[in-house]
Amino acid sequence: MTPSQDAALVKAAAAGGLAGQQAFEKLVDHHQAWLVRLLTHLLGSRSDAEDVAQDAFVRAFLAIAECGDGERFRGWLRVMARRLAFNFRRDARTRTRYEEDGAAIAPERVEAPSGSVEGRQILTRVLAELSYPYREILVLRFVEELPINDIAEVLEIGESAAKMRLSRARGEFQQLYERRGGHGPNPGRA
Amino acid sequence: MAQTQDELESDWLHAVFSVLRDEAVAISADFGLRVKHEVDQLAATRDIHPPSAVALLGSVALETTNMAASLLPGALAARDDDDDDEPKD
Repeated sequence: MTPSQDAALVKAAAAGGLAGQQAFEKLVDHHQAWLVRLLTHLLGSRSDAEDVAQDAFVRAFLAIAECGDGERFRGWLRVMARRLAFNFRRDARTRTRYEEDGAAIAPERVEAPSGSVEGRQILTRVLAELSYPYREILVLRFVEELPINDIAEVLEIGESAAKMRLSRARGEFQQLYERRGGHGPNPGRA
Repeated sequence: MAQTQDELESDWLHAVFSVLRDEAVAISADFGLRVKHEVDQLAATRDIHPPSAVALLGSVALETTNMAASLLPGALAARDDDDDDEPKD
């Protein structure tokens, strides 16, 4: 869906009524896949991702008049979802603090991996082990493939801070990835 | 032209993360329906609220008027005159 199509639907949704509701439902149809995917990678659980995505859509519906011209609907929704994911994770941590350590986002155990399954399992394990801000920025950059200015907008920080965080996240990721048996960028390096 | 260390690392990371980029995340079949149901309920609530609020305010105003009217001296006197049911000597 193009930004201009989004803008037309946002405008119709903001007008309210049955037509507005139907326009918003089209936005849900078109944006649910990438939103659930992003949240799944941020939260490590599809079920949690769907809960947060549902919350994000409901809040978007209630605040659709504040979306502006609607061409930036995707970015607007992404910022909202990222905030909700952050809060969800914080609340989940509070709930599980006295329970099993890290149960909510624990990665699956890696068992006799091979081929691309191996790469995927190491990747998800390392992402789960990374500190959340690092996981978040790596997912935004390398899964969502957002440019640094968009990442800064989503994270609500400056571009230079985003660059610095990304650089540190890459370093931290590489260390963990290689420690878990993954091949780094310089496999021949001593 | 030779790549910088940053570019090499980014290429490597792009390759590592491609497995996540390329895979489709399966969404629950009823996810869209759940969202739409909730939106539907919100929309219905939003549509119902204004008349309900008006009705509530109207009933409060009516009750207040009745109370005020019952406290007026004229109303008290009239009420005294209306004691037709009282037995008279």
